[in-house]
Amino acid sequence: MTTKAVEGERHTIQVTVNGKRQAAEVDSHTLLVEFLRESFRLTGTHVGCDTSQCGACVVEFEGNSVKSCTMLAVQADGGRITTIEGVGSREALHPMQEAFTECHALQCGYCTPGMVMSACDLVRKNPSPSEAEIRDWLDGNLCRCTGYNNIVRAVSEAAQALASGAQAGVKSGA
Amino acid sequence: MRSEMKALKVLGQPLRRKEDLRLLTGAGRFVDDVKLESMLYLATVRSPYAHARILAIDKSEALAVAGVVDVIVPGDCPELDRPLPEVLEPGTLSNPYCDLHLTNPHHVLARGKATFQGEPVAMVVAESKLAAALGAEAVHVEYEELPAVHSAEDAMRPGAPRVHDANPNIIGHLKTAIGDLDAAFRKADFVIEERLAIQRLASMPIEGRGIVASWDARREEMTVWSTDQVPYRLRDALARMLDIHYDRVRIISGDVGGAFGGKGLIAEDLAAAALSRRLHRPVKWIESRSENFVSAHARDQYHDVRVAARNDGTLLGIDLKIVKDVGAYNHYEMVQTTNTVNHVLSHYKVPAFRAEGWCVVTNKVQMRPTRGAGRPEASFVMDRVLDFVAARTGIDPLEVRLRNIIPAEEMPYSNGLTYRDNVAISYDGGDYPRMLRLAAERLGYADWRKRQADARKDGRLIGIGISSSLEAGGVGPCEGARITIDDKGRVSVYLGVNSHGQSHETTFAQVCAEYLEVPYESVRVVAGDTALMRYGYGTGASRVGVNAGNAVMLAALALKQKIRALAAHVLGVGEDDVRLEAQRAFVASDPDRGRTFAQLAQAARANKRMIDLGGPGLTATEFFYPETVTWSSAVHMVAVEVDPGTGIVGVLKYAIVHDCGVPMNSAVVDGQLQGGTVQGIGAALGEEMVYDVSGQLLTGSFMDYPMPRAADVPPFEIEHLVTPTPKNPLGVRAAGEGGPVSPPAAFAGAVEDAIGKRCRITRMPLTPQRVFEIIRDAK
Ligand code: FES
Ligand code: FES
Repeated sequence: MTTKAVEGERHTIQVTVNGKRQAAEVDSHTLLVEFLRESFRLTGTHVGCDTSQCGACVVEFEGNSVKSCTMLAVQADGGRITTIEGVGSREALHPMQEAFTECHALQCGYCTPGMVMSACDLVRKNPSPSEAEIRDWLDGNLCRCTGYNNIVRAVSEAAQALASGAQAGVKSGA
Repeated sequence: MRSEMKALKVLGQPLRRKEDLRLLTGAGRFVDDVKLESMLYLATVRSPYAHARILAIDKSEALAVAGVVDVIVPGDCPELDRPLPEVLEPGTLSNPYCDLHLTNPHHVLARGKATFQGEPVAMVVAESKLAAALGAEAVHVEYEELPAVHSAEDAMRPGAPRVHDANPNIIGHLKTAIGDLDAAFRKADFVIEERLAIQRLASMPIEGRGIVASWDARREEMTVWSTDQVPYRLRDALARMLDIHYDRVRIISGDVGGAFGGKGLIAEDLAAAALSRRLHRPVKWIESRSENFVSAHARDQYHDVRVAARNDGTLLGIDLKIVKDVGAYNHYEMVQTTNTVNHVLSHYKVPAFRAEGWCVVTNKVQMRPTRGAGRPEASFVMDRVLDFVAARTGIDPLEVRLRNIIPAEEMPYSNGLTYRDNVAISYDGGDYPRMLRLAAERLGYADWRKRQADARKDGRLIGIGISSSLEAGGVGPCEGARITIDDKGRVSVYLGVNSHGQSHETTFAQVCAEYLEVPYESVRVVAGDTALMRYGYGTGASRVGVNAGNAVMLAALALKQKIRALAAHVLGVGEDDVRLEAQRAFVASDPDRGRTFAQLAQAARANKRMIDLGGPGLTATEFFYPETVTWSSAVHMVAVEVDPGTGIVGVLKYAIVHDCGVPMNSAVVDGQLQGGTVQGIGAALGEEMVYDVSGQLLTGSFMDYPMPRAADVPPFEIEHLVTPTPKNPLGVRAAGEGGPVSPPAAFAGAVEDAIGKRCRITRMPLTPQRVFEIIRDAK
């Protein structure tokens, strides 16, 4: 790399982040995760590695979960992005978040936003996943604290709650 | 001491965690989330060689990179021309066994030569993270590569190159003995000798290290956001470096994304603070995962063990020689090897025991503790020994254990060893034979033995492994807690310890709610800021539950006493006539006459009764000083099937029996146990820091370092027993290490049992390749 790379090309992009449409200036080399964290201060999306393996940075892009450290911000131009901040609120947790707290599926909470984003994508695509399917789906999300079993249980309970019509802010009854 | 024992209402309940709402909605505040006005970014230039002389550093090209503010090499910054502080300063050893401990000064930037791949050589500060990284790449360092010392055996070889020119490679030595070992070997029916090795691995929290240091030139104060597990140690180190009162350094550690022993003071902490004061701007450093892989490792210890035993399976004596490879630097004296010595006898009676240990430097990454800190090594040795005795005598491994186990009637049991706080070891209760039998029951031990025999007929390899562990936890010196009630009756609990996933905001609120008799919902725990409490000794070594938990309990009781005294004065009755209930103090004989806690908090602002109640406000601070450690225990049993074609080890069933005394929150304890066990499974089946002979790390990413993933984890059959300890008023024992300690030993036993054919498993981890080789060689 030469020193000139600091002066990357600037681009203006349009993105819809957590339902809000906005324009922003980015460098050509800016990663989507940096863009979300730095430009919008959406710091719930975390960085846990530099080789696209931990999944702490997972967000929803155009209806799919993606590792936001593996995409450039410019590639998100024109797209819709949902981060953990757009999933539920303290007052009205999403059933997936509700299930995570109910099942003690987090400890330090660093992997948690990525886990929740991946899990939400799974149950969107497969509303009643088996335990093996959940474990398989979460292969790209590392957690060093919980040992996963409570996470798997949470995803399964959230899927059931969602299937029976639970919405954000409405207790799953678990 | 236990006068307050009563039926518990809140303590122990699996209540929802108070930290979850924040963490689940993306509102956690981790160090990387801190962004300050005019902040600079720090990047480190690291040695690509394990051992090399530094001939010259040319920073001119780096200084020309747009955005680079400064490049620091040795000599540029006098504050940084000092070694990193030792965790245990030499000369303050309390270690009863250690008789040699040499310290090699560990400078912020390598002096003259680099001693491991990844050692900081220069640092760059810049206006952006990218500019700092590009600047670091543009620093040209001229090296002369030297032969690397790549293993402990290599380091101890006569004529081996020295890692540090001023000292020999052996930097630590300890020894201890109990009983008559020579007599034990004379009486033995047979003797077993083996070398048993536990690999080098790392804590690997999903968040790396980080710091933001911000010097306020007007007030001459330093504010730091850090991931450090022991914020007060960082505070004191920075105060010493900056030569200011420690009250002028404030360390904030909000949310920390896991630590497990690896997050302590490192070079960048000192550099960020020194540069912030020099440049009058905040300085941020966030460790990348690649850097995390070369910043601190753990374990890497081998054991030459000689065992004297009888044909009936009883142990007569163990002679143990331990060698620990600490990498290039060691800041933890011989704590971990000492832990191995003090946990190796585990749940068993061994009449004669001798241990000797050495710490050896090599050209590898420095050593830090990680979960278990010497204890997985201990259980690995003991359970391997018991399995070898079983194989030799033909007695079932479970039966061999029952023949050597400490009977419950002999509690409290002293084995003659001394803990590292210099207090004679005494196991404070627990029923080890019951735990072992219960684990066998939960696993279905007898049934698996039958299935194993049947499977053998079809050429399938099924095996059972057993491991017991002890965990001396709750080491002092102390922790404190301050509780205050405001004039709305809301309760705050202030602590001197931070949390990296241990659920302090929940568990300590439960302790407070229980003993102050207030609703859990009204209690808020505030911690992770050195401005709150004058001292704290860190979240590690499974010490916080015992120390801080009891401090909260004592503070709650003290505050109730204060409330009673003030209420008596306000109500004009004697203190004995005051009753406390439902956040209200009232006259026992006339319950309508009373004041709420909120009203009393208001009164406490100016009432003169407070003169001899510690001054204004409803607040109480107490410290808990444990006499010594308390002992938790666990038994793990696993049934596995080994695929002879691939060497892959599959778990058929996994059972754990665990006793950590009174749980503060049963779901939190269970979570600690499960998460820890999975870390132990990673250590058993895959994780290893592998170096080549030139000292290059071959496993520097998650691709090469296989941490367990969701699909690798079996369900666990868990039974929690509760034997309260008499050693503290709450009756709590340590809960952090019953998980990670036993899996390596349990899997070694199970795989060996599955393969049979007199194979011996002597080192970890059991990667498919290694298991495949063991099967091949056993044929
Ligand atoms: S940060 Fe690790 S996968 Fe994106
Ligand atoms: S909760 Fe800490 S990494 Fe998952």
